[in-house]
Amino acid sequence: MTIEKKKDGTSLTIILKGRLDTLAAPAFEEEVKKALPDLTELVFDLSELEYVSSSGLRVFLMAQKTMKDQGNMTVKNVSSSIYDIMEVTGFTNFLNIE
Amino acid sequence: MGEKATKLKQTTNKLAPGFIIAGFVLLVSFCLSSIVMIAYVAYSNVEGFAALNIGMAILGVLICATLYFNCMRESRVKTDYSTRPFVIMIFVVACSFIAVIFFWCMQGMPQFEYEMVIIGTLKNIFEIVTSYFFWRYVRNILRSESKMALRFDLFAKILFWPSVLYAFINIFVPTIFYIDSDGLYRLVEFPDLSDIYTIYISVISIICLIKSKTNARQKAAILAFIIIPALNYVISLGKTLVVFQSAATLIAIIVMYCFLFSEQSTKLEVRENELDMATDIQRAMLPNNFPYFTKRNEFDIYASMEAAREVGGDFFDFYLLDDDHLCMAVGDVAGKGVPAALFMVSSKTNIARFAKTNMTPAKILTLANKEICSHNEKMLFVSVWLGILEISTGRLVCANAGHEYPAIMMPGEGFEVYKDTHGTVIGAMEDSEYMDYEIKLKKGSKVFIYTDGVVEATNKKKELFGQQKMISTLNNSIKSKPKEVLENVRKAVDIFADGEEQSDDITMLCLEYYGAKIDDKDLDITLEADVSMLHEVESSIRRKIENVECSEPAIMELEIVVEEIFVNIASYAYAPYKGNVTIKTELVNNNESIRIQFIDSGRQYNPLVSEDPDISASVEDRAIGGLGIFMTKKLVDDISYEYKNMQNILTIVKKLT
Repeated sequence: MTIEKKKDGTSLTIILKGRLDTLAAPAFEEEVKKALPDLTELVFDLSELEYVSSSGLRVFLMAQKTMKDQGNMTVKNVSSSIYDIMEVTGFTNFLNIE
Repeated sequence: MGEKATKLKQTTNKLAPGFIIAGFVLLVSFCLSSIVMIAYVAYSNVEGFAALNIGMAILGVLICATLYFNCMRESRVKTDYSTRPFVIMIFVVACSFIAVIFFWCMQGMPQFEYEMVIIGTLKNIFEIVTSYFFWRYVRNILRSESKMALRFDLFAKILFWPSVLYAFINIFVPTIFYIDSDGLYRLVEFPDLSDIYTIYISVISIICLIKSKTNARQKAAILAFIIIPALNYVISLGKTLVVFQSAATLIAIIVMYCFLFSEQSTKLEVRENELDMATDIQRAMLPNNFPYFTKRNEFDIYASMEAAREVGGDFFDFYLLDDDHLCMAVGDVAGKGVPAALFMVSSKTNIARFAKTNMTPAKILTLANKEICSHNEKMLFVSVWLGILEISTGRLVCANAGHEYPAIMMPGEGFEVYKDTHGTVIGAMEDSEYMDYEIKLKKGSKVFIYTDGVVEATNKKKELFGQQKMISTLNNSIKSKPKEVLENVRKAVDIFADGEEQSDDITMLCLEYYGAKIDDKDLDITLEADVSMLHEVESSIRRKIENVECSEPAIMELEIVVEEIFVNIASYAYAPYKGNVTIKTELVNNNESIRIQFIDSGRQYNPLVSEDPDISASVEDRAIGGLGIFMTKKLVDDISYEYKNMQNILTIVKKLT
């Protein structure tokens, strides 16, 4: 999986391309943890994300917990399959999905 | 057999019919000259007259004997029942000639009046019997089943007996003839009623002949026997002189014989036998030993060719190029009969030859076309559809050389005519080029290839069966196996034609694709339960569902489930030590679902008893853990756990569509 970051002041857009499985999750978690301090807006663009498992979802949960106090977090361009996964796991309850 | 002997055999074969014709000519000349002689010299001379009759009768017996033995030598007399009455006729005529001999020996001797009456009566009866067998011969040859012919036959059988009776009564009462006081043969004054039978037979024979479709040769033979004696009757103005009658009968029999057993008719017979053999050879050249490829469960194929004449110009062919490629071809030569059949054999062989050299259909057709055009002086051509199926993937690459559009059925849909690009027919132009096109077959797909004999089958109203009817016939029994598909279409064409003769060869080929073979051996893997092996596990699962019909979301959910379970085992079953996990995969419910079993020998753990996370919780309260197992439980259709023989056995079943 590749991670692309677009920073604009205290806003950050992270574009994920590929599969976010257990093996890719640790690197993803590192990138997010590094970027989180002083962030007011965090956007995840999942238009090219093909797959996500529990490890990846956990990173989104961790990021959301932090951003709730700092600013906004949005997850956008979610494919229908991935949306279904998020719905089954209840993630649609607290994620801001566009 | 030595060369000399062969040459001798050949010359004697050439002589035999020549001998007969020469003999015939001699006989005719003799008869004509004797008739002239009678007219000028022997008419009132009883002894001379008798001598002539006896001589004629002796000749008659000899010739009949010769013809009879010649007939028996012809092998087909034993098998061809239509000529049997003719052979019987010869025999009966010979018998009547023998009677004539005895009769005329006793002429002029009143003391033998009684014997003469009996023999004369016998002769008359023989003549009636001859007429009857002549009619039997006519019936066999003309083979008319019309009501009229059957009625004629009935009357011929009925009238036979009164005629015989009438002739028989002559022994007691002169009905036809009597012997006068000088011992001479005298005809009775009033008309000979036994002649009526002969006249009746002649008339009905001529009527049936006119209405019959049999060949000219047979018609001429029948006519000869009627006309020659009739001519004789006319010439002698009703007073048939025995010698004329004998001569006429003899000439008629010889003419009939010549027409039936001449060299030409034998040649025709031989040619018909050869055509029958050709039909059998051609049938054996096309694959005809169904079912084929019984050990391959990835597909089922059936094909048939029914020729309009004895041999046809359509062909079909299929063969495995290698373990993973099936080549199919269907062709239709313009025309029918022997020329088309020969061209068909050449085309089929050429295509097969190029197909086996590992090329695409377009290239095969291009090269086969060049080869066929290079020796095609008669300018025949053939339309061909050629397809190569890659069995493991369902990829069907095809090319079309002026052939009817194939009909394709995708699972869940109906048959549809697939309008592929048409190249020129093969054999027309040397540099014709063809194009490949590809169809991806799925499990349950069917392909139906046919020739125009199907769509252009006509009924009595000259209407065509048509593509639409063919498609609806195919769709009416969409679940049929290839063999039934062909039977259904053939039945529909037959019902449509409603007795109209098949005017063109009808060829059909049907293939049903069941998907790539799932090798049972691959289904189990054992590997180290380590997270780093995740990708290998995923690709192994993906391989197993490669050629099965699945929906995209189902695939992703399946991968998530496999990942969650595997990662769980890898993380917790053996930690901090290492261990293996066995993953058994099986396609179940007619390939609609997949069943996966995870077996490890780590610490006993039943994932089903773990508590589900509270998915409605807010983000602050939401716990990090428990997500993987929860997702597994939610994304499968069935999950079960068992601890047996110190092993954790976790089984999941998931629908793939």
